[in-house]
Amino acid sequence: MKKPTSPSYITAFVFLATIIIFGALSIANSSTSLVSSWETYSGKHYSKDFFNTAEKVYKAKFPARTDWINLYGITQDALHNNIIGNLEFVRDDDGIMNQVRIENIDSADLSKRILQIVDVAHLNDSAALYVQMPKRTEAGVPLALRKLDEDYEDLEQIMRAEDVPCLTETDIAKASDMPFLWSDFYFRTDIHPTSEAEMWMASLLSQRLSESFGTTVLNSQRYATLEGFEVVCHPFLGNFANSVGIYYAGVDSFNDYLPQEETSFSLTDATTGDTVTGSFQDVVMQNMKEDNTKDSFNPYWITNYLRYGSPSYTIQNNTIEQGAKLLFVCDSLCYRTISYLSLGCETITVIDPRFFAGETDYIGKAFDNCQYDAVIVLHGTSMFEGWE
Amino acid sequence: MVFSSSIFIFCFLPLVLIAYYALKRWRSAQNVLLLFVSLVFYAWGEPQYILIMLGSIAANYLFGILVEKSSNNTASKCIVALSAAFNLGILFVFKYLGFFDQNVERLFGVDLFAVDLLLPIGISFYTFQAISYVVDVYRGKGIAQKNPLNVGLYIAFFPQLIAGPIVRYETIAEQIKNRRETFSDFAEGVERFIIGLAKKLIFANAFAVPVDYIFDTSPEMSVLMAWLGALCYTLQIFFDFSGYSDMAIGLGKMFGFHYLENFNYPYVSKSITEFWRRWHISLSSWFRDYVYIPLGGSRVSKPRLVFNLLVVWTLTGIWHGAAWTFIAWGLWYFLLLTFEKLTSITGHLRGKASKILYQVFTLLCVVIGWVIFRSPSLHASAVYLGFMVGLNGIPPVDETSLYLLKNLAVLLPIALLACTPCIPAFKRKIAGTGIERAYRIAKPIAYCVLFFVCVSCTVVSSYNPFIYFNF
Repeated sequence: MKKPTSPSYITAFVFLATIIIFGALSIANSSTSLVSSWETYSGKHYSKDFFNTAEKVYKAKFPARTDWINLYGITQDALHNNIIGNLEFVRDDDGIMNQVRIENIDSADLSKRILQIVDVAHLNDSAALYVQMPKRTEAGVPLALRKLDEDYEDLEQIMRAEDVPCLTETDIAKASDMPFLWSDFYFRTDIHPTSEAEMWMASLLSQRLSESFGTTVLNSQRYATLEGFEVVCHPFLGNFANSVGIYYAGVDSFNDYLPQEETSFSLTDATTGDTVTGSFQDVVMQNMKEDNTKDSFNPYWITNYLRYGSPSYTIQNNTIEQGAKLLFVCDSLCYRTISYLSLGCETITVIDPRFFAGETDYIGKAFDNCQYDAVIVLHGTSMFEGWE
Repeated sequence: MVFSSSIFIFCFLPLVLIAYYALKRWRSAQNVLLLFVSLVFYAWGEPQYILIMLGSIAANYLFGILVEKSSNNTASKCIVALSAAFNLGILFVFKYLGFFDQNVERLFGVDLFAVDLLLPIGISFYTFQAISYVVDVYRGKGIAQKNPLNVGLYIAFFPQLIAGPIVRYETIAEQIKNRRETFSDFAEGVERFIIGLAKKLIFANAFAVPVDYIFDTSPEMSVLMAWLGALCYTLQIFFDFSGYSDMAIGLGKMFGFHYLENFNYPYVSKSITEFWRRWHISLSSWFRDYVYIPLGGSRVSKPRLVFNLLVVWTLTGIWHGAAWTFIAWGLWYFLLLTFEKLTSITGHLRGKASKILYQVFTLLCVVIGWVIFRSPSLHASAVYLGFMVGLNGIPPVDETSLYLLKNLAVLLPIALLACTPCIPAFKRKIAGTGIERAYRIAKPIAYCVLFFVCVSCTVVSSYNPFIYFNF
């Protein structure tokens, strides 16, 4: 072979070494998954799905993936690129990651479904409360790309016109004791509120339940004072930043508030009928992954709370008798609010409407087992779209 | 399989390179290997269409043999005509029959074929290569391959298979059997591949985001947004397609093949004629040599010249896709080129100002052309062009377009600069100076960094559209 005339052989050498070494490691990492997906598809008619799966597996199992993601984030940061993916996420002027919404929300349909739930609550002699979590601040992001905008105001107007008790963004904005900045309500890298924000929401909800319906959440002042909890902090990279890494989006601190008193809970999964009993940490936070704390990419701490991915379940606080009984219709946005509230309530049932594809019959069925004091519907724009 | 996927870069390519150079002493075995892996590459995701390609290879192999063996010119011409009809017939059935059927139904209310065939990927490219094979054998610019596997390799070789460049048989007829792999070529190929990868992953994909948002989701838009969309698409299609060509040329070099250039800084063109000498050179020269010149070229009467141009540009338009927007885009260039040819305007331009003005006009025409090209329908393109001149009464500037523009504040100037021959000019300027030495040291470092950045994009990015795959 002819010798190259410039130091371009360095490039060729690095290129070859990289593709061969990383190629070999990739094949080793993904071979088991590739073989199993081949077995899945080869038995059936020839399918394009295998190729798509293979590419996804290969990408997901790529060696040092998190380092490559961080490099990608650094590059995007250097290019001042605040739009990630095909307008999936934007980084706002405060450096906070946000999800982009392009299509409009059908406020009329959303309100219709929420009002159906309110009707079911009233039919069962229960109170109903419509709750909005505050909007993300999304500094500098144009209105057309914001996740939530006019539908909040629309929904509030409709609910107030129908005399549905509300805890809306307007009410939350009036609350003078917010212990943090609006921009700190949510994680910088994730769709969910911080633990402190969820604790504060638990405090506001307790107040509203007491004022509007006379429903008492025991020891609710602790949500404002944060007394009686041991705080354990974990580095956390949320679902808005998994593709850009820690240098682009920053790292959040996910704080677990662990009650210091002795607790006893039972949780029954409505789908399987299985019941587990134990402490708050064992039952309400059932899925702790202490061994992963060093890698902020992997553990998704939100899923430690309640039964993420389960359509319906009931939490029983075995230390409280004759306490509040609440039914929450919500997605994962307030999982920790519910978890903290469970410390002061007798029974809480959680129904995630995404699993019921727009049906509302399941609310009525929940009353077959329990007479709830209140049904709390948490606003979520995609709550009724349905999941597979 | 796409070049910018991790499975190509970190599985397919290293395995093929290792196997290819392990067979260094056996050229025939190397060619068989390249053909085999090219078929695997093509079948990845689209396995059913491999039969069409194999059919095309077999038929054109026979046409080539027959052309070479035919005793007289008339017989040869008949075989060439037959092969052209065969190849264009395949193209028509899979690419245009649905469109034809749709329009017949629209006009006469009759659904003739009721077909809904999926477009086999890369069919426009490999069909034109197949035609080139038989015609070049007929013209004596290359010998007919006795081994059908070599015809298969010419038509199906994976670097140029999916999105070109359209490699003419005369260019690589000799290289199929007698090529020399050198480390120097290999290193150049690697550099070229990295350049193409960067064009695609860093530039084209970034511009695709505002383009898709503006063209696909904005029913109304300000003047600024319309211009931003048009500018971004102008850049996206250049970086996307020229990036792919760079990767193809680079990969070719890694295996000892030398392809002709497909792009030559088209956006610095001083006229439309020059633009088409710089943009998708393999396609425009294919039409020039296989259609325009056989029709008589430019050395004919003016009406005949206009007719020749009309034929070539209608075909160029429709080659890009079975839609009226592509035909309109081809006719747009027919009008512009007819104007340039009949008026010889570029020869009459006097003074720097008028030349610069005409260069700006050229670029403007190209941008307008891309709007027609990108729009989903002729009506949509007319509406979009209306937005560009503020016909909808919307304020000329809006919050979203300013946001999108701000987001491109770093990338856009770099991209605009990369569209010009600034690096060759810089290299010429520093030649023989002390800076050249520093440049030579910095170059491999820059390439390596660029490659790692590209790898990070392949690992992360889920948005990776290739525009010319659709053609």
